[in-house]
Amino acid sequence: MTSVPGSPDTLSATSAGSPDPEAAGNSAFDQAYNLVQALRGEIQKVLIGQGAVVDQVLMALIARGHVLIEGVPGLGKTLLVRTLAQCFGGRFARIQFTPDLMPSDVTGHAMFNMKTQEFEIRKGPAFTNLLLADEINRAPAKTQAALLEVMQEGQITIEGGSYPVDTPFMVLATQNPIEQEGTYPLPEAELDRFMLKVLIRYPERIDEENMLLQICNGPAEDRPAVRQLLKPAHVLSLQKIAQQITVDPAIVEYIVKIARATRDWPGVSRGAGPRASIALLNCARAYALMNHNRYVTPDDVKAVVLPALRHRLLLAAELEIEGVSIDKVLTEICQSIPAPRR
Amino acid sequence: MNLEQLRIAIRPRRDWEAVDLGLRMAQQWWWPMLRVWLIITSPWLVAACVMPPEHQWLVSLCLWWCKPLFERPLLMILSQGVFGVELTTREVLRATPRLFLNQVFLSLTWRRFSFTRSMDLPVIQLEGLHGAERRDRLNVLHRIDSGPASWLTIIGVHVESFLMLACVALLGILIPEEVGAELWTWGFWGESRTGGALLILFAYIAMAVVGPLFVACGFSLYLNRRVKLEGWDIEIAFKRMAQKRGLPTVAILAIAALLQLTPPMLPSAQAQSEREAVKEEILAIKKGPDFHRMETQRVIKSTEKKEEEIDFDKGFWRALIEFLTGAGSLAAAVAGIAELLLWALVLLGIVLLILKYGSWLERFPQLLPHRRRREYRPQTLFGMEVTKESLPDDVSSAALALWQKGEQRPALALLYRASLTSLLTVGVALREGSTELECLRLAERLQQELGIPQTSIRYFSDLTRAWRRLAYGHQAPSDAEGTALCRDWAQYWPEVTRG
Repeated sequence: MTSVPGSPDTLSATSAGSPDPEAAGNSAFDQAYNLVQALRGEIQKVLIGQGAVVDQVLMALIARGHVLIEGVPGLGKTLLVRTLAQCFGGRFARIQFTPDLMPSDVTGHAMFNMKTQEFEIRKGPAFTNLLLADEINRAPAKTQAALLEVMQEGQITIEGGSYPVDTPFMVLATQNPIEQEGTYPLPEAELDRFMLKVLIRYPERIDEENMLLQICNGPAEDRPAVRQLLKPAHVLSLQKIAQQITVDPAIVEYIVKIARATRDWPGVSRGAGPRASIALLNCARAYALMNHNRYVTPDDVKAVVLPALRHRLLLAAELEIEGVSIDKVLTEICQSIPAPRR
Repeated sequence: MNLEQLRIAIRPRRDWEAVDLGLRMAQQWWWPMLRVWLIITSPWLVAACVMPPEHQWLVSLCLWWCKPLFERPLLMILSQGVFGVELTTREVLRATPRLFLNQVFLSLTWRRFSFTRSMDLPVIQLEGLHGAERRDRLNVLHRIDSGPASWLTIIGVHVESFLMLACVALLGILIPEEVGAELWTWGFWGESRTGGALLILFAYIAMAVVGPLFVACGFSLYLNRRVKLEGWDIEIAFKRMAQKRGLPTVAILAIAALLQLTPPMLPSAQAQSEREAVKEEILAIKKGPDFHRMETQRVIKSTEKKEEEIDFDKGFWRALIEFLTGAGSLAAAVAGIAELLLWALVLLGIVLLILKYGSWLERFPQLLPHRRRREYRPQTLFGMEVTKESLPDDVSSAALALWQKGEQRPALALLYRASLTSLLTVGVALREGSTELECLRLAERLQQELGIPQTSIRYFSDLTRAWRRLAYGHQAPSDAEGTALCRDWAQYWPEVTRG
């Protein structure tokens, strides 16, 4: 593993114990920040021009969440996930969702072993650190629902027995906003389990040119080599450090106000639930860490409102017809909620 | 007026057909009219650019109010143009002051809100009528075919509004999303000079487009009405005939027509009897079954006697009619006064409503004078009182005292609240939903426009950082830093003092 400024080896050591807890905490925080920056830089070497998407995926990783990535084909969704897996050296599995995919193809199943005359459990691809559910809306609801338990509980039940998945565990699902023919929209329960919905858009012209230049001048395999910067255990440390970031009660109140406002907002049929508030809080903490803030501010909350809530709201038909986007409604809600001053 | 020189086809048209002709006329003389309009209105545009943002609304109001004046030179171009006289811009501009002064007071007060302004303007300007003569003339003109004149005003107002909004929308579309310059942050409603000036520019463009069309359509309606009233088409037909056939032919025709009016020569007795016979034969045929169809209809008819007709010339009836006529005149006078009073009441009601429920004007601060804008400054923001009265006399000393007592949070809170009050006082439009960083960015953005000193902004930035660290990170600034913030407040925000 390559050594980087915020070395993860020292990260776990300093967060474990030190003569001066505050100094140790600060040191661990700085290292965590440096590590995240290094991780961000490494991924952006491969995925050019998608800085915001990379940030949001890293934010979900730090906040122990799952991500639903939406974008047209060819923007690097799979590449992003693969690069992330390479960077932290965890296990990576990819499932291409198709209409005939069965739940057991995702979770695993019990199989009778003729030799031993016993049933043995064959674990599915969901037993991994990073699970890429490619084109998740191509499979029927039955198969999509196979992910419900693992996404929320971190375990999979097969034949009555529960099996925990590896930690850290993160699902990165992709879906295509066009070609709706033959797709199955994700049910609300499934959508709500995704911490963030990330929209991946076309890169800027200059970024696209850089990408092509890199391919022209780079190695034959098209992609620069990615360094492995940390291990799965270090991701857990990052998550722990993010959990320790200070959150003032005013921030909690602000988050709840935003979540509750979505429920009563005119033109919104279904607002965000309590899980959304939790997601907002955790995301805001991760965002603060990524910006080297040791405490969460209202700005951190505002910055994550769109990706954390956009998939949890259902607009009323009249707003849909008028072409009002959920992002616009969320922006209006944020502007209407008084920012805390305490 | 030489009708032969008319450059438009003269014939009686239906009302909307006349409006169509007006549009063609506007197309024909578009550039001369637009050029003159732009030249005479350009001082307003310049004034809007140089005025401070709080007074820009005055310029736009004035521009809108004086529109009837700007229409006069356009009518001059059209009225000369239809008779084949192409005026130069210089000639029109030279005549403009005289045109402006013609019945200017009434045009800008009582008649400003007339819906038929476009059709009435030629009566003032071309016929030079005023007072009762003008009223009688308008009564005649408005008798028929004047409906589109009112509709022109209504449609014009809407088209102007839509054009203005379209300009704003176009601006929004042309700005790439990545630039991040959201339209609602431009401060169209008076928060910034750029936004206000842009809005006035868009309104100006809309007026420039609609103005010539409005005048030309109104003039065309007026012309059409006169064509019908005065038989211009017949006159022209005669004149053309005279040109084509020559004077003798016309003279012969005229003599023939004259002869037609004299009694015809008596026919001979035989011819007379033949004619009588033929006539009887014709009548007999006409009475025959080929020309008649007999139908019997049965209807119920009242058998009561008809009421005796009243002789209105008798003394009692005459007196009654005279009494009623007098009472009617009195009632008409009373009704006129009552109508005026009612209008006054309506206006008063609107004014009272604005005064009472004027908070919505916060959204359109450019409509308010500067003094009123300050009055509409929010009293509370983010759940805190942000008025001068809520602050201590000496903010610095009060904050320093709190700081020295170890009450760091109240001390910084007071400084921060006082700074927000100062920002509001100088005109930074803070919103409820703005976070600390957003307030800071807004202040930085408006710094030059509002003339906030750079040092004050730097102080506010330091204070915001310290406040955020204390409020959300629970990390108090050092004693030296806190003391400096307390002590420096008055130096950077001297405007806010009690009373």
